Amino acid sequence: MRVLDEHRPHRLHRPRSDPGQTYSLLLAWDGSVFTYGMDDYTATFDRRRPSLR
Amino acid sequence: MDGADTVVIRRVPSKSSKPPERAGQDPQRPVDDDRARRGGSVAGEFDNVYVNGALYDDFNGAPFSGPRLDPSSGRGPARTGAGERRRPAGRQGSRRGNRRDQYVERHRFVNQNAVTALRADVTVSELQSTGSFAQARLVGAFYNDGTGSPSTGMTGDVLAFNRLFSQNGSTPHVNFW
Repeated sequence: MRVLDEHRPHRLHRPRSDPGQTYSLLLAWDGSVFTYGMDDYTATFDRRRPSLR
Repeated sequence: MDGADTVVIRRVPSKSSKPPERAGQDPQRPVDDDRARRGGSVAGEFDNVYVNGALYDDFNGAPFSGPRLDPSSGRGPARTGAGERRRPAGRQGSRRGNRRDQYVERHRFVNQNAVTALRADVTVSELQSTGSFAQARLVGAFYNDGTGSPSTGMTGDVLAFNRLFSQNGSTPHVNFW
């Protein structure tokens, strides 16, 4: 499988996760923008405009 | 979604000109990497899985559980070692670890091509990443950049991950990749 690209991972605002705690993880794509999040926090990533994220 | 003891992720969203849908697949492929040879494990549970905004599986019995998550599709081809999968009522457990090779346990959606949004409660109960990389994550191959075809493997698939991870004993973190 060909590797197309790489980018730095996006750390969430609450980066630490404690073992034993339960976190609600989210991952979605609407056709152009990725949405990701943990618990009540969400963020988006637009591959076309990464600097504006 | 998967629990994986050692994972190499080098794939990212890429601009797509022709995006044939391949949503919701778990695209992870083991990649040979030195980190994968040093051991490590992660144990945890997935629960309350939502797909496209609707409850997909809460592992509490019919009509959920089993038929719509296919654990048999997710056995890592490089598995060689320890590990157990437990499935108490109401949870989907995952535990993987070995000393020599990468092991990945995945659970794919039966209707994966219709999946564009995932949410799940993830609890990591045990984590050992000294000399390795351990993680539990949601994975999506949401589209193809046009260089591949859904019927010809993963070429051109654009992947995204949201994961709980630890590398070489570090404090567990969450990130999107």
